[in-house]
Amino acid sequence: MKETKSSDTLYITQTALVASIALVLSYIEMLIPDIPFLLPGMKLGLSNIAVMFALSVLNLPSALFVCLVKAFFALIMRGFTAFLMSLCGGVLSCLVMFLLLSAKKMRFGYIGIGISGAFFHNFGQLLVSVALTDKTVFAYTPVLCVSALVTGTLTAIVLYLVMPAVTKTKLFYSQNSSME
Amino acid sequence: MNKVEKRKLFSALDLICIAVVILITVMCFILPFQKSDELIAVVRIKGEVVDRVELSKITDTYEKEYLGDMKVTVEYSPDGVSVLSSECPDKLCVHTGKIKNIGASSVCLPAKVSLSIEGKTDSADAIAR
Repeated sequence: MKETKSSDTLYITQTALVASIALVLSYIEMLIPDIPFLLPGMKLGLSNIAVMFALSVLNLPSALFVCLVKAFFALIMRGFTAFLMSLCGGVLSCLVMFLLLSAKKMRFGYIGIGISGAFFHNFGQLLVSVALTDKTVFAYTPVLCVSALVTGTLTAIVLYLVMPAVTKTKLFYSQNSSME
Repeated sequence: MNKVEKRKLFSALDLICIAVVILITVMCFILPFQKSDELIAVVRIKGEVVDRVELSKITDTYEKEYLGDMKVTVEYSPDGVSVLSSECPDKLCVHTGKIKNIGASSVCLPAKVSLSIEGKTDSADAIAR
Protein backbone atom coordinates (compact mmCIF):
# COMPACT_ATOMS: atom_id res chain seq x y z
CA MET A 1 0.00 0.00 0.00
CA LYS A 2 1.35 3.37 -1.01
CA GLU A 3 2.12 5.67 1.83
CA THR A 4 0.38 9.04 1.61
CA LYS A 5 2.88 11.83 1.47
CA SER A 6 2.27 14.42 4.12
CA SER A 7 2.74 17.21 1.57
CA ASP A 8 -0.20 15.83 -0.45
CA THR A 9 -2.37 15.83 2.64
CA LEU A 10 -1.30 19.38 3.39
CA TYR A 11 -2.10 20.49 -0.15
CA ILE A 12 -5.56 18.90 -0.10
CA THR A 13 -6.30 20.44 3.27
CA GLN A 14 -5.15 23.87 2.18
CA THR A 15 -7.27 23.73 -0.98
CA ALA A 16 -10.29 22.61 1.02
CA LEU A 17 -9.71 25.40 3.50
CA VAL A 18 -9.60 28.07 0.79
CA ALA A 19 -12.67 26.54 -0.87
CA SER A 20 -14.58 26.74 2.40
CA ILE A 21 -13.51 30.38 2.80
CA ALA A 22 -14.89 31.02 -0.70
CA LEU A 23 -18.20 29.42 0.29
CA VAL A 24 -18.51 31.52 3.43
CA LEU A 25 -17.75 34.69 1.46
CA SER A 26 -20.32 33.71 -1.22
CA TYR A 27 -22.89 33.19 1.50
CA ILE A 28 -22.16 36.51 3.18
CA GLU A 29 -22.49 38.18 -0.20
CA MET A 30 -25.93 36.59 -0.68
CA LEU A 31 -27.06 38.07 2.63
CA ILE A 32 -26.20 41.59 1.52
CA PRO A 33 -29.20 42.94 -0.40
CA ASP A 34 -28.77 44.89 -3.64
CA ILE A 35 -27.34 48.20 -2.58
CA PRO A 36 -30.03 50.60 -3.81
CA PHE A 37 -27.97 53.54 -5.04
CA LEU A 38 -25.48 51.40 -6.91
CA LEU A 39 -26.14 50.13 -10.39
CA PRO A 40 -28.37 47.07 -10.64
CA GLY A 41 -26.52 43.78 -10.74
CA MET A 42 -23.47 45.10 -8.95
CA LYS A 43 -22.06 42.65 -6.45
CA LEU A 44 -19.05 42.79 -4.22
CA GLY A 45 -17.38 39.66 -5.58
CA LEU A 46 -16.05 38.77 -2.15
CA SER A 47 -15.34 35.17 -3.09
CA ASN A 48 -12.83 36.43 -5.64
CA ILE A 49 -10.62 37.12 -2.63
CA ALA A 50 -10.44 33.38 -1.98
CA VAL A 51 -9.68 32.57 -5.63
CA MET A 52 -6.92 35.17 -5.80
CA PHE A 53 -5.55 33.88 -2.51
CA ALA A 54 -5.49 30.31 -3.83
CA LEU A 55 -3.60 31.51 -6.89
CA SER A 56 -1.06 33.41 -4.80
CA VAL A 57 -0.22 30.81 -2.17
CA LEU A 58 -1.29 27.52 -3.76
CA ASN A 59 -1.48 26.93 -7.51
CA LEU A 60 -3.74 27.06 -10.55
CA PRO A 61 -5.46 23.66 -10.13
CA SER A 62 -6.52 24.44 -6.57
CA ALA A 63 -7.79 27.89 -7.60
CA LEU A 64 -9.85 26.27 -10.37
CA PHE A 65 -11.15 23.79 -7.83
CA VAL A 66 -12.24 26.71 -5.64
CA CYS A 67 -14.12 28.16 -8.65
CA LEU A 68 -15.84 24.82 -9.20
CA VAL A 69 -16.92 24.58 -5.56
CA LYS A 70 -18.23 28.15 -5.77
CA ALA A 71 -20.20 27.29 -8.90
CA PHE A 72 -21.81 24.26 -7.25
CA PHE A 73 -22.74 26.46 -4.29
CA ALA A 74 -24.45 28.83 -6.76
CA LEU A 75 -26.21 25.83 -8.32
CA ILE A 76 -27.65 24.76 -4.99
CA MET A 77 -28.57 28.22 -3.78
CA ARG A 78 -29.59 30.07 -6.94
CA GLY A 79 -30.16 27.56 -9.72
CA PHE A 80 -28.63 26.45 -12.99
CA THR A 81 -28.28 29.88 -14.62
CA ALA A 82 -26.28 31.09 -11.64
CA PHE A 83 -24.15 27.93 -11.85
CA LEU A 84 -23.23 28.58 -15.48
CA MET A 85 -22.50 32.24 -14.83
CA SER A 86 -20.43 31.54 -11.76
CA LEU A 87 -18.44 28.80 -13.47
CA CYS A 88 -17.76 30.73 -16.67
CA GLY A 89 -16.87 33.96 -14.86
CA GLY A 90 -14.82 32.17 -12.24
CA VAL A 91 -12.71 30.11 -14.61
CA LEU A 92 -12.09 33.05 -16.96
CA SER A 93 -11.03 35.41 -14.17
CA CYS A 94 -8.95 32.65 -12.61
CA LEU A 95 -6.98 32.11 -15.82
CA VAL A 96 -6.44 35.83 -16.37
CA MET A 97 -5.25 36.40 -12.81
CA PHE A 98 -2.95 33.36 -13.12
CA LEU A 99 -1.35 34.87 -16.24
CA LEU A 100 -0.87 38.25 -14.55
CA LEU A 101 0.49 36.68 -11.37
CA SER A 102 2.98 34.51 -13.19
CA ALA A 103 4.28 37.25 -15.48
CA LYS A 104 7.79 37.50 -14.12
CA LYS A 105 9.06 40.49 -16.03
CA MET A 106 5.92 42.55 -15.67
CA ARG A 107 5.06 42.63 -12.00
CA PHE A 108 1.50 43.78 -11.57
CA GLY A 109 0.35 45.02 -8.19
CA TYR A 110 -2.60 43.54 -6.33
CA ILE A 111 -4.93 46.25 -7.60
CA GLY A 112 -4.19 45.58 -11.25
CA ILE A 113 -4.68 41.86 -10.81
CA GLY A 114 -7.81 42.36 -8.73
CA ILE A 115 -9.40 44.68 -11.29
CA SER A 116 -8.50 42.39 -14.20
CA GLY A 117 -9.89 39.40 -12.32
CA ALA A 118 -13.11 41.21 -11.45
CA PHE A 119 -13.48 42.50 -15.02
CA PHE A 120 -13.08 39.07 -16.59
CA HIS A 121 -15.34 37.53 -13.96
CA ASN A 122 -18.09 39.95 -14.99
CA PHE A 123 -17.24 39.50 -18.65
CA GLY A 124 -17.57 35.72 -18.41
CA GLN A 125 -20.96 36.15 -16.77
CA LEU A 126 -21.98 38.59 -19.48
CA LEU A 127 -21.03 36.07 -22.17
CA VAL A 128 -23.26 33.48 -20.52
CA SER A 129 -26.10 36.02 -20.38
CA VAL A 130 -25.64 36.78 -24.06
CA ALA A 131 -25.69 33.08 -24.88
CA LEU A 132 -28.88 32.60 -22.86
CA THR A 133 -30.74 35.64 -24.18
CA ASP A 134 -29.40 37.87 -26.95
CA LYS A 135 -26.81 40.53 -27.60
CA THR A 136 -28.83 43.36 -26.06
CA VAL A 137 -27.28 42.26 -22.77
CA PHE A 138 -24.05 43.89 -23.96
CA ALA A 139 -25.65 47.17 -22.87
CA TYR A 140 -24.55 46.14 -19.37
CA THR A 141 -20.87 46.50 -20.32
CA PRO A 142 -20.40 49.92 -18.66
CA VAL A 143 -21.97 48.60 -15.48
CA LEU A 144 -19.57 45.69 -15.34
CA CYS A 145 -16.57 47.95 -16.04
CA VAL A 146 -17.40 50.34 -13.21
CA SER A 147 -18.21 47.50 -10.87
CA ALA A 148 -14.93 45.76 -11.75
CA LEU A 149 -12.96 48.90 -10.85
CA VAL A 150 -14.64 49.15 -7.45
CA THR A 151 -14.79 45.49 -6.48
CA GLY A 152 -11.38 44.66 -7.93
CA THR A 153 -9.74 47.38 -5.84
CA LEU A 154 -11.62 46.21 -2.78
CA THR A 155 -10.49 42.61 -3.33
CA ALA A 156 -6.90 43.75 -3.82
CA ILE A 157 -6.82 45.81 -0.64
CA VAL A 158 -8.30 43.01 1.45
CA LEU A 159 -5.81 40.51 0.05
CA TYR A 160 -2.90 42.89 0.55
CA LEU A 161 -3.81 43.31 4.20
CA VAL A 162 -4.56 39.64 4.81
CA MET A 163 -1.58 38.12 3.00
CA PRO A 164 1.22 38.88 5.51
CA ALA A 165 -0.93 37.69 8.41
CA VAL A 166 -1.90 34.41 6.79
CA THR A 167 1.56 33.54 5.56
CA LYS A 168 2.85 34.01 9.11
CA THR A 169 0.57 31.24 10.36
CA LYS A 170 1.88 27.82 9.41
CA LEU A 171 -1.30 26.84 7.58
CA PHE A 172 0.03 27.94 4.23
CA TYR A 173 3.57 26.85 4.56
CA SER A 174 5.89 25.05 2.14
CA GLN A 175 3.42 24.27 -0.66
CA ASN A 176 4.92 26.67 -3.14
CA SER A 177 8.38 25.18 -2.90
CA SER A 178 7.18 22.66 -5.48
CA MET A 179 6.16 25.42 -7.82
CA GLU A 180 9.40 27.29 -8.20
CA MET B 1 9.44 29.44 4.33
CA ASN B 2 7.18 29.60 1.36
CA LYS B 3 7.81 31.45 -1.83
CA VAL B 4 5.04 34.05 -1.59
CA GLU B 5 6.93 36.96 -3.03
CA LYS B 6 6.47 40.49 -1.82
CA ARG B 7 4.03 42.09 -4.19
CA LYS B 8 3.11 45.74 -4.16
CA LEU B 9 -0.45 46.86 -3.61
CA PHE B 10 -0.18 49.13 -6.61
CA SER B 11 2.39 49.14 -9.37
CA ALA B 12 2.71 51.33 -12.45
CA LEU B 13 1.52 48.44 -14.62
CA ASP B 14 -1.82 48.50 -12.82
CA LEU B 15 -2.51 51.81 -14.48
CA ILE B 16 -2.75 49.91 -17.78
CA CYS B 17 -5.47 47.65 -16.37
CA ILE B 18 -7.40 50.63 -15.02
CA ALA B 19 -6.97 52.62 -18.24
CA VAL B 20 -8.24 49.75 -20.41
CA VAL B 21 -11.34 49.25 -18.26
CA ILE B 22 -12.10 53.00 -18.22
CA LEU B 23 -11.57 53.17 -21.99
CA ILE B 24 -14.12 50.39 -22.55
CA THR B 25 -16.59 52.22 -20.31
CA VAL B 26 -16.17 55.48 -22.22
CA MET B 27 -16.54 53.69 -25.56
CA CYS B 28 -19.83 52.23 -24.39
CA PHE B 29 -21.20 55.68 -23.67
CA ILE B 30 -19.98 57.27 -26.90
CA LEU B 31 -21.11 54.55 -29.31
CA PRO B 32 -24.75 53.61 -28.71
CA PHE B 33 -26.47 56.72 -27.41
CA GLN B 34 -27.45 58.67 -30.49
CA LYS B 35 -30.79 60.37 -30.04
CA SER B 36 -33.47 59.49 -32.52
CA ASP B 37 -37.11 60.41 -32.95
CA GLU B 38 -38.12 56.94 -33.99
CA LEU B 39 -37.63 54.76 -30.97
CA ILE B 40 -38.78 51.18 -31.17
CA ALA B 41 -39.15 49.01 -28.14
CA VAL B 42 -38.22 45.42 -28.94
CA VAL B 43 -39.14 42.50 -26.73
CA ARG B 44 -37.30 39.24 -27.14
CA ILE B 45 -37.95 35.90 -25.53
CA LYS B 46 -34.95 33.56 -25.70
CA GLY B 47 -33.51 35.76 -28.44
CA GLU B 48 -36.62 35.64 -30.66
CA VAL B 49 -38.25 38.98 -31.35
CA VAL B 50 -41.84 38.70 -30.14
CA ASP B 51 -42.92 42.33 -30.16
CA ARG B 52 -41.91 45.64 -31.74
CA VAL B 53 -43.62 48.80 -30.57
CA GLU B 54 -42.99 52.28 -31.95
CA LEU B 55 -42.92 54.61 -28.99
CA SER B 56 -44.01 57.64 -31.03
CA LYS B 57 -47.31 55.92 -31.76
CA ILE B 58 -48.16 55.38 -28.12
CA THR B 59 -50.50 57.94 -26.62
CA ASP B 60 -51.44 56.34 -23.33
CA THR B 61 -49.38 54.29 -20.96
CA TYR B 62 -50.32 50.63 -21.05
CA GLU B 63 -49.07 47.29 -19.79
CA LYS B 64 -48.54 43.98 -21.49
CA GLU B 65 -47.56 40.57 -20.21
CA TYR B 66 -44.99 38.26 -21.75
CA LEU B 67 -44.40 34.66 -20.86
CA GLY B 68 -40.79 33.53 -21.03
CA ASP B 69 -39.63 30.99 -18.50
CA MET B 70 -41.51 33.27 -16.09
CA LYS B 71 -44.13 35.96 -16.47
CA VAL B 72 -42.84 39.48 -17.11
CA THR B 73 -45.00 42.61 -17.27
CA VAL B 74 -43.79 45.47 -19.47
CA GLU B 75 -45.08 49.03 -19.25
CA TYR B 76 -45.12 51.07 -22.45
CA SER B 77 -45.32 54.85 -22.32
CA PRO B 78 -44.52 57.56 -24.89
CA ASP B 79 -41.22 58.48 -23.23
CA GLY B 80 -39.84 55.01 -22.59
CA VAL B 81 -40.47 51.44 -21.54
CA SER B 82 -39.83 49.59 -18.32
CA VAL B 83 -40.27 46.17 -16.81
CA LEU B 84 -43.04 46.72 -14.29
CA SER B 85 -42.90 43.36 -12.58
CA SER B 86 -41.36 39.96 -13.00
CA GLU B 87 -41.68 36.65 -11.24
CA CYS B 88 -37.93 36.25 -11.14
CA PRO B 89 -36.13 36.29 -7.78
CA ASP B 90 -33.52 38.99 -8.40
CA LYS B 91 -35.70 41.71 -10.01
CA LEU B 92 -32.74 43.28 -11.81
CA CYS B 93 -34.95 44.16 -14.76
CA VAL B 94 -37.44 45.94 -12.50
CA HIS B 95 -34.67 47.87 -10.75
CA THR B 96 -33.25 48.98 -14.10
CA GLY B 97 -36.31 51.23 -14.41
CA LYS B 98 -37.44 53.05 -17.47
CA ILE B 99 -35.22 52.90 -20.55
CA LYS B 100 -35.33 55.70 -23.10
CA ASN B 101 -32.27 55.67 -25.38
CA ILE B 102 -31.22 53.62 -28.36
CA GLY B 103 -29.11 50.70 -27.26
CA ALA B 104 -30.45 50.72 -23.73
CA SER B 105 -31.90 47.49 -22.44
CA SER B 106 -33.51 45.87 -19.45
CA VAL B 107 -33.08 42.14 -19.20
CA CYS B 108 -34.74 39.53 -17.05
CA LEU B 109 -32.27 36.69 -17.27
CA PRO B 110 -34.16 34.05 -15.25
CA ALA B 111 -37.23 34.53 -17.46
CA LYS B 112 -35.04 34.85 -20.60
CA VAL B 113 -36.95 37.98 -21.61
CA SER B 114 -35.16 41.08 -22.83
CA LEU B 115 -36.51 44.53 -23.48
CA SER B 116 -34.45 46.92 -25.56
CA ILE B 117 -34.75 50.12 -27.51
CA GLU B 118 -33.68 50.35 -31.10
CA GLY B 119 -33.76 53.12 -33.64
CA LYS B 120 -35.64 52.87 -36.88
CA THR B 121 -32.51 53.77 -38.82
CA ASP B 122 -30.29 50.86 -37.84
CA SER B 123 -31.36 48.76 -40.78
CA ALA B 124 -27.86 47.38 -41.36
CA ASP B 125 -28.05 45.83 -37.94
CA ALA B 126 -31.46 44.39 -38.71
CA ILE B 127 -30.14 42.75 -41.87
CA ALA B 128 -27.12 41.35 -40.07
CA ARG B 129 -29.43 39.83 -37.52
